Amino acid sequence: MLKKDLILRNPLRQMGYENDDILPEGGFGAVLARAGVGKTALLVQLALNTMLRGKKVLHVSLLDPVNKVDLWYRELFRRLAVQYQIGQIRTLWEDMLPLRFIMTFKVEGFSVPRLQERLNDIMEQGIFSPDMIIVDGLIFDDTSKPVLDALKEMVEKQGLRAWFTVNIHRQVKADADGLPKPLLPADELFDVALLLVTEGNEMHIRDLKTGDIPSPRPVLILDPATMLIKENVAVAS
Amino acid sequence: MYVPDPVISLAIEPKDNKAQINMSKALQRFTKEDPTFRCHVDAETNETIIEGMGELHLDVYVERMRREYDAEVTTGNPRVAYRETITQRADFNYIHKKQTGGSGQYGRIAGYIEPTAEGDFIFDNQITGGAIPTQYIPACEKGFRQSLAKGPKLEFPITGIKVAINDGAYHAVDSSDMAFQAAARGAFREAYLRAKPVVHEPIMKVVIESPTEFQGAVMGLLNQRRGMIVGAQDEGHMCVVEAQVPLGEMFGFSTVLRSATQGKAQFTMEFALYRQVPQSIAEKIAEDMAAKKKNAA
Repeated sequence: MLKKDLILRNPLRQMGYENDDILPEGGFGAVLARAGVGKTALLVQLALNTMLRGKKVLHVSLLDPVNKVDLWYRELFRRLAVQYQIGQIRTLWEDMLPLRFIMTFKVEGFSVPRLQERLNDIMEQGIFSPDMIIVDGLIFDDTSKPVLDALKEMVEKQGLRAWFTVNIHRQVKADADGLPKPLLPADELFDVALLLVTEGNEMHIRDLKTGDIPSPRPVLILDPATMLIKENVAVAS
Repeated sequence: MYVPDPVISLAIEPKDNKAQINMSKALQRFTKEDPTFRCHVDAETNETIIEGMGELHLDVYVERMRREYDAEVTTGNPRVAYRETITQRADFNYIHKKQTGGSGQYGRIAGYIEPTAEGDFIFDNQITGGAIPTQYIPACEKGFRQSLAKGPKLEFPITGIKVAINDGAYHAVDSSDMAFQAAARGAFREAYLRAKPVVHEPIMKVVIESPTEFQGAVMGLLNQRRGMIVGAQDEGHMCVVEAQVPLGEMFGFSTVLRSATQGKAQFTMEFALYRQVPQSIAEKIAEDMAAKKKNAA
């Protein structure tokens, strides 16, 4: 009942995606923003929503240690529960914890074969079998295409969905489709791309690449005080 | 300063009189210097029980007794400090009435018990209109507190419970502190089993540092022990695996870990939280407790 409440109240559902997973099987999604705007917070909320639906999330971080990633989840879940006045959050959190697995790598030590090896370790022993992967901190530049191709192959083969954070720089300009340059080397691999932009005191979530969802869509914002996604009253043009 | 309650206990027995004297000196000293180390004498078995935060913690103190105080002691098997709690609200309305010649005992208490996350025990007096006179309220609270020491389910201490009393009755002659304490104990017994009690076990945060080639084996070991792996940190040639594992499954883990990793891995363990025991394990604990009781009798 509690889980259902939280799932139904999740504003991400209001973005118009008919599929709760947002991505198709084997699909790639990206959250693009400048450093410190809230890419990880947004992806952790996507992960929490997936976990609330009983699906498993593998969080791969190339930036933060396990403790810090765990803290992101705990803090955002607590804020989510407070915002929607959900009681007994401890029990709910305990139920959700086994649905998450955190793997951290040093940026220079990360490779797809290595990730695949680790994943096989836990899958073959029946420890954890993810439905969704979050890759936080992968560097997107001209050299990242082979890594993304290998990841795409792995994700498609195992029927997973993968989300990435993409760090963009102030001086980066968008191309004709609105996609910023760092994503360009591999933009055909991505089904969904969300851009986080600061407008005044708010952080707006804009969809750069959405697949075929109907419009008008509500504009979502990331509350800078809580880092939670909430719906803006205005409607996207 | 927050001092966590012990999660593991061990029975110790001195070998002779000299050891007995030295052991009590040592225990006095250790309990003064370390607030997480406690000791008491079990009223039923008359054994000296030491309690602490882990197997190694107690091992260190037993070794110190031998080396520093020349107190030779034999140790029993370590026991996990399980706890009981309830999972739903249950009402009670209990009359304690006894007439054995002279003035009798009378007290009626009504109210409810429910789970709470705000503390080990919360007593809420909602009596209005003097249904239970004010001077008997502390006796009611005392009666409920007495009931918490040994749960009616498996005799483990009870935590995370709120008791609210909202009605009652007294007798001008037969009511007394003793009568209301007995009424509170009876009321608790009456409501407890209807409040769906469960057993909680201490869960330890276990961090294992191992060469990367043994990561799979290490995770397998944790998985076999009902461990929930929180994450794995890749640090070049070494990796760090963090997990939450029930304390009851961690006895003798250092030997198993050494043999699985050619002695190249090491681990640290600290208390993290209490979590509900799965049904199958709870049944096994109940069987063990029943067998222990039978042996003691």
